[in-house]
Amino acid sequence: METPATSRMDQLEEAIAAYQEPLFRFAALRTGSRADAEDIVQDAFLKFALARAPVVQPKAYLFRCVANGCCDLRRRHVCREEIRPQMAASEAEDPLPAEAKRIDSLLGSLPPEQADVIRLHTFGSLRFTEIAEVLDCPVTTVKSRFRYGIDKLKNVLKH
Amino acid sequence: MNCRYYQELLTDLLAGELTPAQQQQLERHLAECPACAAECRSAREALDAVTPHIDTAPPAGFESRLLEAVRRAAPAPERLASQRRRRRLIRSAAGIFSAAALLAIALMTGLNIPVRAARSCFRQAIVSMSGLKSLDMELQVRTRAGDNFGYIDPELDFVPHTLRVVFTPGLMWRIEKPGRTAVYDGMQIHQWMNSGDGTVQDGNPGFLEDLTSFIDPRILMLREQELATSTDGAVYTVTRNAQTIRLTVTAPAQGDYEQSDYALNSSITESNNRREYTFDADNGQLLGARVTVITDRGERPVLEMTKIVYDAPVDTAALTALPEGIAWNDLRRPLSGTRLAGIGAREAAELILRAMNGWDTEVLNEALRFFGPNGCELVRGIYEGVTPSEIGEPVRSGEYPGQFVPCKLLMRDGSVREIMLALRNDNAEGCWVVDGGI
Repeated sequence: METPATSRMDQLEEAIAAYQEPLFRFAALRTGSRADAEDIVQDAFLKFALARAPVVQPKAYLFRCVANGCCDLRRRHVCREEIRPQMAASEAEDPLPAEAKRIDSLLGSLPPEQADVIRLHTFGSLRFTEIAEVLDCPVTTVKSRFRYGIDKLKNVLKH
Repeated sequence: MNCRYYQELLTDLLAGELTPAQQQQLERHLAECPACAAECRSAREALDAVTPHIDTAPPAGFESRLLEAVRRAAPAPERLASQRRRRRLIRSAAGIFSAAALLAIALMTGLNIPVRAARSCFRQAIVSMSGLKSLDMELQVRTRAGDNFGYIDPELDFVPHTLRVVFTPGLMWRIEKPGRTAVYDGMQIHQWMNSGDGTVQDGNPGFLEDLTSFIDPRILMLREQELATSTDGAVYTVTRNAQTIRLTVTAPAQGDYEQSDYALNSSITESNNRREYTFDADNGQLLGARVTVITDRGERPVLEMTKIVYDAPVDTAALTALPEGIAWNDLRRPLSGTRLAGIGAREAAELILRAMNGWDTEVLNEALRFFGPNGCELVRGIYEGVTPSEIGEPVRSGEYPGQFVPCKLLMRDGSVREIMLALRNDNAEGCWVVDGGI
C-alpha cells in the first residue's frame, strides 16, 4: 500500500501539471502582474506541500489559496507602489496590466461575492460546482451570484 | 414552460454547463422569443466584457520551478520518495534543515511579501547608488583573522574588517582584518598575511568569495536581485516603517552535499542563512546588513555591517600603500612544473604527502604555491617526515571547485593525524594545488 506521504508528493505533481496554467492565469489577471502571479501560485503550492491535514479537493484548495494570496497582495499594495522606481521595458509592453485593470474596473462595480464568482469562471475556467467548493457554499448560491452579477454588468455596460 | 424557466437555463448556457438536450430546448425557445433572445445577447456581451482576451500563459520553465520548489518544501519522507524518482540538482542540506522549516521561520519573523517587492527594493537601491564615489565600511565577521576572506565559522568570535573603496575615476579598494589585507590598485591585487607572505594576482576579487559583493553594494544588490529572479527556495520578507525598509532573505545552503557535508556552514552561501538588509525609505540606499547562519544548533549571526559611509573623502595613496618586507609570490606566473597535472585528486594527494616525507621541493613548490615561502616553512615544520597511512576517496562538497581528500598521516613523533586535504586544479595547467586542510 502506498504511504500517505508518497501520495502527497504524487498529488502535488499531478496538481502542478493540471492546474498551474489556470492558477497562473487567474493570479496574473487578478494582480495585473506576471511576477506577482508566479509568487502567489508558488506560495499556494508550497502551502499545499506543507499542509498538515490531507488535501481532499486539490483544485478548490489551490484556487482558494491563490484567490486569498491575490487579496493579501492588494491589501499590501501601498508598500509596493512606493518602492517601485520604474518599470522594466518588457513590463511596459505587456498588455496584461491594462487588460487586468479594464476588467477590474468593470467587476469593481459589483458586490465582491458576485465579482468573485465571475472571476473564478472567466479567469480560472471553473465550473459552478468547482466554484462552490472554492467558496464553500451551495451551487445554487453560486449560480444566483453569477446571474445577478451578469445582470448588474449589463446595466453598467448600458451606461 | 415560461420565460423564467429559460432564463435559469440561460445562466448555465453562458457558463457552458448545459446538457445537449437542454441546449436544444433553449435554442428553440430563443428562436421563438425575441425578449429572451435579446436577454441572451446582452448577457453574452456582459460576460465577454469581463473575459480576458490576451495571452496569459505561464512563463517558460514555470512548471519545473514549481516542481523544484515543492520538492524542497515537502516534508522529509515525501522528499525521499520523490528523490527516488528524480535526483535533485541542488540539495538543501537534507536532514540538517529543511526548506519547510526555513519557510516557517520566515513566516514567523515577518510578513511574507512575494519576491517582487524584494526585487523592487534591490532595484531601487541600485538606482539610488548609481553615482557612488567612495565607500567606507566596517564589518564584523565570525572567522579567523589570518584565514581566507571568504571563510566563516559560526563557532568563532567576531573579527573586525574594514573596507574602503574608491569608485571614480577608477575602482580601487582595500580590505583589512587583523591577520590579512588585500589591496586592489586598479591593476592587480596584492594580498598579504602577518607571516610576511604575500601574493600578487590579477584584478578578479573572486577569492574574497562572499565578501566580494561587499566591495560594491550595487553588485551586492544586483546579485540579490538576480537571486530573487530564480526561484531557489528562498523566502523574502519586507517590513517598512517611516525611516527604513527592512528586507530579509531566508535561503537554503547552495551547493551539492550529496557526497559530503564537509563544506556545509564554511561560507555564507554554503549555509542555510538569513540575510537582512536595511534601506533608507527615502532614497533606497543600503544602510545596514546582517547575515545569520541557521544550523541544527540554532541561529548565529556571522556577519554584521557596523558602519557604512558613502562618498567620504578617501586618501588613495594610503588606500593602495603596500608594506615593506613582504615576500611576494606572483600567482599570474605560469607554473614551472606539471608533475601534479593529468592525474586524479587521490593520486595527487598521495604524491604530495609522500613528497613531504623527504621534503621534495620539486613537487611541493608546485603543490604549495598558495602558501608562499614563510607558509611553506611553517608547513614543513609540522609535516616533514610524515608517512601517509591511509588515503580515502576524494569527495566534492558544497560549491568548492576542487575536491576534499580524507587522509590519515603517521607524524614524525609517532602520533596519527587525520586531515581533509583540499585540492583544486582549476588553473590553466590543470595542476593540483593544496588549498587548505593542513
